[in-house]
Amino acid sequence: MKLKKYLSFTKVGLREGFQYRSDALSGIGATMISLVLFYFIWKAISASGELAQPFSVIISYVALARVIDNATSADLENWIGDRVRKGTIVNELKKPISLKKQLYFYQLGKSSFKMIVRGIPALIIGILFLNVGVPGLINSFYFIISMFLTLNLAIFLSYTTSMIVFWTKVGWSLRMTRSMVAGLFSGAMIPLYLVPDNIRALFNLTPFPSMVDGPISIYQGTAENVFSVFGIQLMWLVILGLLSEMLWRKAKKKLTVQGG
Amino acid sequence: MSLIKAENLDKTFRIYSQGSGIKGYLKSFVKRDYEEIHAVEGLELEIDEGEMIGYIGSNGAGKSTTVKMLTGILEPSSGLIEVDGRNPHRERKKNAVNIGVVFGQKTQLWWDLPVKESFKLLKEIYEVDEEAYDERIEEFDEVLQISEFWEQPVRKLSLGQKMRCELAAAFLHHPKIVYLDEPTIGLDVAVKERIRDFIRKMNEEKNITVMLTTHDIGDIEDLCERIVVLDEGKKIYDGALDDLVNRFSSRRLVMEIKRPEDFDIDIDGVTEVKRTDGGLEVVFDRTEISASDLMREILDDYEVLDFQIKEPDIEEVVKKVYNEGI
Repeated sequence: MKLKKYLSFTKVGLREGFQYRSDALSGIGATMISLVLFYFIWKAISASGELAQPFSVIISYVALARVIDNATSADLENWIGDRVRKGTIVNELKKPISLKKQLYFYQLGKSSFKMIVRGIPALIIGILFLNVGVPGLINSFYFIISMFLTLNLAIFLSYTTSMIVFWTKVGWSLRMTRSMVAGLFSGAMIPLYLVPDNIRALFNLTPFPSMVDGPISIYQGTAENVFSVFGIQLMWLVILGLLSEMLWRKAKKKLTVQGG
Repeated sequence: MSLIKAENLDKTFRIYSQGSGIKGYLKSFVKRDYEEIHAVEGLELEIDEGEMIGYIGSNGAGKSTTVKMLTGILEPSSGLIEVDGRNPHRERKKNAVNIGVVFGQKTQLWWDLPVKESFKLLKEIYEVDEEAYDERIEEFDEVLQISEFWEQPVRKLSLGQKMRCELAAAFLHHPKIVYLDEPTIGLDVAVKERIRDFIRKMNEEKNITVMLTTHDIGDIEDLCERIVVLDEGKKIYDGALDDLVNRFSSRRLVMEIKRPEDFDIDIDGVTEVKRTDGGLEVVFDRTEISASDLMREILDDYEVLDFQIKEPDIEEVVKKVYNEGI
């Protein structure tokens, strides 16, 4: 694989993000608003006094979850959906490159943009106002590794669901479903320690908890074993990698049978 | 050995019918009836290096399907394809280095980014070195004049500007073969002319083989010596363009005479006499009577002011081929 070739897709993804200034600015705005919203929702829930943790602990988790969610988003379903419906997917298949690698590096650029305009501002606000705290040097280092794995998981996951577009022809409904399920199961919406154990066990059968709850536990120093968090993330990367490859092979057949 | 070879090529699609009315839609939503469509049937094709062939046929004749199979995007249902000694589907990426493709109406440029960004990306994808890249862009610019909108985002370009970029993009890496699927569709005469000049130049100077799918007879007349005509997935003609035109043996003699109202002839081989605003039109079959014999007979009886012999135009021939076959 020639890395330089594919890195130019990362550049394009990043470039596309910064193409529209208003889009970048509204990204920052949306993150702020979502933080404010989550702040008041959880304040109201905490006021009932029935939660196991005090508000200051919960808001720290919730704010971190917003940071991770914003910094590691991926949306390949719409990209593929658009091209499958219009038939322009042929323009991707005529090139001497792998579609999967092209999309991976492209999304890496897009996600970097999101990390800059959404993730980092959210982290700063979290540290300044929402009790997020700053971890020690070692945990910061582990957290960055874990975030990178989450980003990869997000891209792999989005790529896997986007393969289904070859059957459904529509991307956005798949993306909505994927992000709703991910939001609920990962800890991005509700701190997972508030979820009852038996349901939590169910969540753990999916890759989602390792994407948000995992990195948070490293950041906050509550992870029992940092390397088991990495291990679970890597395991899901392998599983999603295999699953998407399988779907892609079927999708290619499908494309061939129905004529693109 | 030929550069592109297809033997007994078949492509069958399965599509489902939607049904009609709300009842039909609901029914097809639950249970789908599939139908088999034979897009290409028993196609034999050989194209040599440096050739420029026109691939024509009415809508849905199977032209684009053929191009998609030759580029390796679709796998044939049966039959054999070899492009530069490779199976293009099995070795899609290797084959892709050697080819350039324009699917008309389907832009490959990055919509939100300036034109030059798309080209920079293509330069990396096809591994064109810096020097060759600069040289080629300059060369393309001479004919296609793409530098006018080099910095503009693609979404702001007109159709003609976009198509000029698409053309340049397809030839950027100097591939062995370029497939052009309706490259002049919807363009004005000036842009068409420019695009044809460019294709001709690339073919002549770089010996790039071109397979051109089009509905525009002007493209064919200007560019292609050889044409392949496809009808309902089957090849119905493969040969020189001139030969096809000559198969249709009727010719027209257009003339102006004194006192056209008196004109009345009975000559073997003349199939029709039409009176037009400017004068008379005599349709004749040249296998039965030569133009000179016909002229001589007419000149004996009438005073001819002006005359002209018209060959059938290609458009007419093609229309005839589509409608009646060969």
